[in-house]
Amino acid sequence: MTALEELVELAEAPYNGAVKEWKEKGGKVVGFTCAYIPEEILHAGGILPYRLSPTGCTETTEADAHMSHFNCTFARCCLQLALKGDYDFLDGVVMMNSCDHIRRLYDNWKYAVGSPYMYFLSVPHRVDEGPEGWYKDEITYFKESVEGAFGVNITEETLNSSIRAYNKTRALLRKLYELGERDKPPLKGSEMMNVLLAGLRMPREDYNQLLERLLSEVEKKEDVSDYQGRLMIMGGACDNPDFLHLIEDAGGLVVADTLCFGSRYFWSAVETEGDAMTGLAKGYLNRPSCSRMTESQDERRDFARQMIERFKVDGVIYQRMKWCDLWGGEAFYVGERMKEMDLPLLVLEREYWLSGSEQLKTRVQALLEVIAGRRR
Amino acid sequence: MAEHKNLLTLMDFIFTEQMDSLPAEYEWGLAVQAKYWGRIAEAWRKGEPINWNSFAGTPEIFLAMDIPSIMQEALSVAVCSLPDKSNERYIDIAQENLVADHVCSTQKIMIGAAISGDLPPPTTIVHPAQPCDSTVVTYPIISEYLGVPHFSLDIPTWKDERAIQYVADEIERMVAFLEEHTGKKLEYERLRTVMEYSNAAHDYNLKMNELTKMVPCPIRQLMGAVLMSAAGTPECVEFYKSLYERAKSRVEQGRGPLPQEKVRLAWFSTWLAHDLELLRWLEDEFGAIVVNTLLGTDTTPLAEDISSTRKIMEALARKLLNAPMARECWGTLEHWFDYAIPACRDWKVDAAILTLHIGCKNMWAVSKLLKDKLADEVGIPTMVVEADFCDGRVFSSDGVRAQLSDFFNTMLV
Repeated sequence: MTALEELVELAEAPYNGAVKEWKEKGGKVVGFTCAYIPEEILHAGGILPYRLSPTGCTETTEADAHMSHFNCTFARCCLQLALKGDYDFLDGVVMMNSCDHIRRLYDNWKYAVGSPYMYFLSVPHRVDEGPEGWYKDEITYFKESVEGAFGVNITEETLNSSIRAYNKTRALLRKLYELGERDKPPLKGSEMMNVLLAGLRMPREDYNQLLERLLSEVEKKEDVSDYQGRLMIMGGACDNPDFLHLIEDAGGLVVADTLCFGSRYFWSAVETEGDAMTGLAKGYLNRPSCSRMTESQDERRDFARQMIERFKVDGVIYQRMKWCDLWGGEAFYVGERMKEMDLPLLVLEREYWLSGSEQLKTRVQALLEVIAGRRR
Repeated sequence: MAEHKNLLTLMDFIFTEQMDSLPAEYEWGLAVQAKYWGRIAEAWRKGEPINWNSFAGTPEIFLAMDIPSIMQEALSVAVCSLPDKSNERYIDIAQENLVADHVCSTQKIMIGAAISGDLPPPTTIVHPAQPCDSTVVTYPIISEYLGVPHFSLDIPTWKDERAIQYVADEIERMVAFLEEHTGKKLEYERLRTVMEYSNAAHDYNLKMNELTKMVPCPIRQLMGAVLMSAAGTPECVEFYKSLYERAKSRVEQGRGPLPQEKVRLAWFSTWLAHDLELLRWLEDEFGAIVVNTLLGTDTTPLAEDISSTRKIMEALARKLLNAPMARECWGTLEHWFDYAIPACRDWKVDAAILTLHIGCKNMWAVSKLLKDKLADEVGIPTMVVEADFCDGRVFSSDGVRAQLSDFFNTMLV
């Protein structure tokens, strides 16, 4: 099996071979929901951090009885899988005030599912000195809670070691991702998404080894050249490789993104100077931001522009979950910015699962035709 | 009204000349609002700084700094009362500009009015990042569109002493922002005077809250949430004093506003700004009176210590964290339980109504848990109805009334 094949297989199932093996050895697994929750703290406690990503969910019957049909299907799918017992292998869950839907996923999980360990973080909505101090305290309390609940000792030394392991992941992923700058990149966007998803559900050290193997393998891999336009994906949580497959089937090549499951996850490293908790607080709060962050519009604009320029993007697909107010509001100035940059923009409202795929494909094809028209 | 293209002068006109156009039986605090809009219109005419803020804010700071501030949600509610359906026009404009159709209609009105040019740009925009995603996201986007400096107060999930100190720091940062961009200064003496008025109004309000627990309820619950926009003014004190005295007198007489109070309701959601007659209809049809409301029952504590600017900041932080809607909606479910269970028990409520606004995703997501909790702990039924606060086209008033009728006919009467 190639490293890519192994990673794709690991990405496909929520309870994959790597997690099973970890559990069989007596390891603890704690689920979490958002890119602002520092995994290093769990990792430093010898716990496997597992980012909730409800792969394979196609309906939410049980979850709908708890959350409403006015809540996003990412959150509802997480609850659905939990209610069905698909997340029974988790020894705990950590969530935060990411958005109204995830905040309430925590409540519903707590009262309708229950997990041996549950923790909620209050993460600031703004980045500067005051909020950084608050966030540092929040993650310090989180660390203490993990220590108490799991009987582990998280030291400065173990934390620094975890930060180094995660920084290695970030560096490897970035190196891999930057291959997308080439005119004929070795990986498609859907493949890159699978690579990223695998990392959310396997031990970090094994993941880093696979990434190193993958990097050496892609040099021999046949480059992708049969595409009609280089696209960037923006917007809310998107962890569905099938969505990217569909774009690729329509003739597009996803070369970049500004997603929390994508580039924003690994783009910036955590500083290792100074104490570990300060480094984590600064590193996580200052990473390329989500639309939940209220004073970071310029930073988001600059990050998107940087990605567009570096990856020679021809057009942008702005996708968001139905009922997501954060990304539903953000669309307003993304539209304005794309006009300023004279880039074709396709705005898609979608459910977690892939629905209306033919209609979606037609809309992507229309975007690609606009791009082709500009080249003529 | 056609000559009023500018919403600020239009509001001033409505609240000074057209007060009778609003249903008189509810406690809107019209005189307070007339002064409120009058100050804003005057500042606009003189070209003086004007601020925009969201609800669950700190009107005392704006008053003490002499910066007239438009509480945008109050403006949106007032726009819903205009006969030309401007609310729908503004909502459509926002949506045509890619704002998602499910974002809160209250804030879409602000965005649409600003894009249309009917709402002049302010000098500054400040808002606490609570109690929902719509509030969090819409103020930054409109500030960027208008090119107006913006400050967002970070409001944590928790409400403990650590949170109070943090929010007090945030308010100090907001003051520094306002001073920088408006040239106005915050002076302690002026702030203390404003806080004395604020405390006096809140004191009457809290005493009135106690009286609304009586059976029959002596007074209709506040629909205007006047404290949120006008706390700190002398007229606000007068308004709450008159309400309290009316309620006290009625308690002494053993009567309320209804000929016969048959059903006592807790209204744990927004009401319908596009259908202000709904509550009157409930009274007429079912003898049902709303005794506790999400927005109207303000339980924010008094500022006990106003001996220094910092102490006032801490008091305002307590208010911000416990303001209506922020109190329940900006946290984990326990915050809802902490408010709703005593509200139903102490106010002797027969049923809870959740006309759930499509913008309130956080409320939708816990409506079942809340409903179950109220049934288990208080033994009352809860009716959940789909609604939209400011847009009657999404869910019609007739549909809302039909569902409420079914509920009353089968569950209560």
